Amino acid sequence: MNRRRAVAGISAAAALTGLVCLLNSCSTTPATVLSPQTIPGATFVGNRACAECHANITRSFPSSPHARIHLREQDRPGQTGCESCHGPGSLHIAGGGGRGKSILNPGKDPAPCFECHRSVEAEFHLPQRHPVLESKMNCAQCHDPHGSDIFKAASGLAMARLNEACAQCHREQTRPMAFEHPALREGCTTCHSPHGSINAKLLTQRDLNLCLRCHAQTPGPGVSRGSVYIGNVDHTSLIRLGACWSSGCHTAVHGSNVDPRLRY
Amino acid sequence: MRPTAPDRCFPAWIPIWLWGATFLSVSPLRGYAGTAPQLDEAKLPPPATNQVDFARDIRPLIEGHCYKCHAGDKPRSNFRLTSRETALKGGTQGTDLVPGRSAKSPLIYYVARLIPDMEMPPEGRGTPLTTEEVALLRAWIDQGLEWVPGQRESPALLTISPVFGGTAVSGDQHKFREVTRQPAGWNGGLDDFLVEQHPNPDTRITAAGHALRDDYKLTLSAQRNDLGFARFGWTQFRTYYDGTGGYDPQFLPAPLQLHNDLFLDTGRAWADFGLTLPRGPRIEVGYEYQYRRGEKSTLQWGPVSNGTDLRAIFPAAEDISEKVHVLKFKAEYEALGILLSDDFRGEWYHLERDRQNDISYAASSGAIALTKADEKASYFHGANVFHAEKQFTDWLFAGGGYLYSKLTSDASMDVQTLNIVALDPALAAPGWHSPRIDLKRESNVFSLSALLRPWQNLSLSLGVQNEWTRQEGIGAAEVDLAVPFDPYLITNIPPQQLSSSLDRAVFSQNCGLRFTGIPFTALFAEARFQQEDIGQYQEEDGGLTPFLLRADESRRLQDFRLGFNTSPWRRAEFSGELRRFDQHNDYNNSLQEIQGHPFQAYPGFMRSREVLSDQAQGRITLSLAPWVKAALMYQWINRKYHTATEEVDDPGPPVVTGGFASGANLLAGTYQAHIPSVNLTFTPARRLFLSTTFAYQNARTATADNGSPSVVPYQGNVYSAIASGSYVLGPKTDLVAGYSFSAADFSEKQPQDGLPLGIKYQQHSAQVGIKHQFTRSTAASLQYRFYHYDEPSSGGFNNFNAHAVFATVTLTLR
Repeated sequence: MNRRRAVAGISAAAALTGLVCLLNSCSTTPATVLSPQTIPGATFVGNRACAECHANITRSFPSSPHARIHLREQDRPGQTGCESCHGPGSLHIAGGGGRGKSILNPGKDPAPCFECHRSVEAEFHLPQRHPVLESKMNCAQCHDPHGSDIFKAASGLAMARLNEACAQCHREQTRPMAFEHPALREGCTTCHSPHGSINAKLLTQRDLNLCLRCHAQTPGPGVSRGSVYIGNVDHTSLIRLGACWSSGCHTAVHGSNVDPRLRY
Repeated sequence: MRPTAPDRCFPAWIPIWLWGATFLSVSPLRGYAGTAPQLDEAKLPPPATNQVDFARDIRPLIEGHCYKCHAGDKPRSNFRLTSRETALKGGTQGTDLVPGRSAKSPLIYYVARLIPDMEMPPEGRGTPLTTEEVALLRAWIDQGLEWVPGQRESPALLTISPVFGGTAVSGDQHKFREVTRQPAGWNGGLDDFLVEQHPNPDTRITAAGHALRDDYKLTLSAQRNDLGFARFGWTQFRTYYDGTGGYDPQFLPAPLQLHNDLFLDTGRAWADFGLTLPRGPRIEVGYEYQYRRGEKSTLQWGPVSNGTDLRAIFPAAEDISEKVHVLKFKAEYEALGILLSDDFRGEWYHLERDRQNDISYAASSGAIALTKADEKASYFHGANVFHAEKQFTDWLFAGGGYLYSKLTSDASMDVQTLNIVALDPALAAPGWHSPRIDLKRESNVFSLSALLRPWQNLSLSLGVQNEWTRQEGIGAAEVDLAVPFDPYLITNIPPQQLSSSLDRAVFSQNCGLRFTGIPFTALFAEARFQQEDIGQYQEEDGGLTPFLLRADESRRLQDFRLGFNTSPWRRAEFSGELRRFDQHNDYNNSLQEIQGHPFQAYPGFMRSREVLSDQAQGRITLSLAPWVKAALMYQWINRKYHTATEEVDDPGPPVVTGGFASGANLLAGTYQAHIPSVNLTFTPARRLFLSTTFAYQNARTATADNGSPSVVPYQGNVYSAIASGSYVLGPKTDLVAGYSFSAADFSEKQPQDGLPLGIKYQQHSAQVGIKHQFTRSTAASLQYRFYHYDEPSSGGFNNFNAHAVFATVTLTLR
């Protein structure tokens, strides 16, 4: 047993040492293969040049999830940092700066975002989607690409407040109600897939499973197999009609001002 | 050009007067008073003797050496080297260039690096000028400082792109509009236009936008450096909806459809003004009007009877009129190195919503009864955020803020049944008439965050944010029951008094660690914690099911992420991430029913819930050859939902303890997904570019069904493929092509025991186009698009094919 442990320990140590050696041996070669954006005629200038004018963004950027790919800028400027998403900045600087002048703005065109977020791009090609590809929305409306919280809307505090990004447009659903659906307190994404979905209204599931994930009730010995109780009410025959919110019953899914059971 | 040494040498908190004193002490025009070094004009390189050409000799020089700091919206020392006027104007502390007298121009001494600590460009911010370059600059000044405007200072630009074409659709036009988000039939107008003018180097005026069918945008902007801006705009676009209900061939041979022209127009008009003086606060004020109006379909489908059974497949729609007036104010000021900002937003909101839902429809006779819910709501919501942040040291950056928001709202609701006589005899429909419901919500949020970089390769971010919110609602309603026989309304139900309140306290903490000490590698670990306590009170006094609920909810959330990103070889990059999300809710309910059956009270039956989610994702990016790059991604999600409900006895006799609900913890649901995706980018020749992405998702959601055949797992596959390419046919001609495909099969087969709601569809979209540049100012493009949509889960009634042709001409005038 001890011998096995010793062999396992030595093997692990050897593997770790090998990995460290491998990483160190590669430290003399430039990296990485992240494809930076291109702007005809422009060249990379490095993050430091961006900080000259945009210090309010660059000084807090290391706390952003996007800084995870922020490798040493000296190695290959432009591939690791601001210019990864905004494109090479030489023409922008030469032209005197300015909003969107000779620089890419992922806040208007999602292409730089899709360079890494390929599966999200695929979601935007589903039949139900937010109109980002149609240029009616942009990624930065819901996401803060530079701050510590990627889900924070602009002009907020350090962290996102619940449903803050969605409430900018969907006031009808997020306004206060006398009787609210507690699911909203856990976020709109509890039920909705925000980028795109195969289901109408961007729902994550289109049938009873959407509600039963939370509302299934522990059946007791008095409940026969095949019966479904929800909220102490026998729903066995009701769920034959369809989903809870589309069976003529709990139609006020986001909340109601008159009915605590969210029927109107 | 003023000395702007790195921040670590001259922190921003050094008062302005000290900078001024520094300038006075070294200015060559002032003879270098005090201990300043004496200038020796003889040390300057002599001016070049040739005739200087600005575009050839000077522009590349100043763009390369000076523009990093002395261009843009915020040039260092307010000295902008982008035009002759701004260059001669100098910076905040005086003249830098004297035409015809290079030896008297301070700038020459700075770039010649003859003044200690004031060399330009400063150390680390650019390559020093060579002796020849300084000589050229001297000659340029001595020869009169000629300046030829470059392209960026082009006085005017006009681009306009008229487009015209149309789309022929066969099949379901409403579904075509919903899926493709564009109208059927003709379309045209201005695809894009831009007018840009520079009356002087510091001023920029632009007008841009587009005007197509059901889709408009116009923006106007005027900006002057060091003064401010004014921006105006209006945009409106249309979202289309299909009004098809559910499809169950056991009930109806074809799905019911609303034949209304369902769409919502979403618009926004705004006017923003800003003051951007080089000294003093940056101030922005603005007004916005947002609106949505139209009719959209909903999923609140109603029941249809085939005489023996019911299915909720009758489609529904609602009228919406939503108006919002928004006032905005933002001020930002940096003092003593602290960036202070205040952001106020006030919203006046008004909503009118009218929805009609089928409550009873007999397929055989066509008799239909509807509930009609008219709802109105208005609110004022004011929110103010005050924020401050400061770079304390090279390794510590911290900020904090406070948000206060208040919302006061009133609403009304009127629910009635239309065509009561058609109501199913077994049904009675409740109606509510509530003239006023008052709501208010108040929030206080505090936030503190810090970013520490104790070592070069380590950064640590920390944050806390605490929120207290109180919400109250109170209203009254008259309730009646609609029944399908004379006298149709039962109104001897006691009036309803409704009240609710919610106290919510949320404490959030997050921390993130990033380590880049291993070559070409970033390691990260993040954690987020949240503790939420809610006190809830709900009362329905009178009405159909009076009750009183007091519930305390406690929610604990933990979210951990761990991962790496590395590129050990030039041609490869690997990244991976693990995530665990755990949320646990405990409920302490005190439910008192004033009347009614003890087992009909829906609210407050849960005792605890837990959502546990594990997630892993990885990515490999390979540059296989200079002309081909591949990225492979994989994501795995495993989520479990646990619920425990109150123990409810079977009322007996004899009473069965835990008869209806045992109170035990239940695995209420599971969700698993595997999402691999691949991207390939080819550039096999300089003229050819191809990119393709394929994504696949296998997902399964299953819930506790207690053996009910009406509940089946929601499971299936989603396939997506996106491809695009371009080929340069000639110096003036480009070919472009694109293709996208998606398909899903979540179809369910339980027609005897429930309604199949899972979708099965396939869609293709392909386009080819050619673009030709006829002259320097004229280009034209022709584009053909094809769409195909097939949806067997709706019986094929949503299918469509479409062909579209569009021609665009682009004119550019400078």
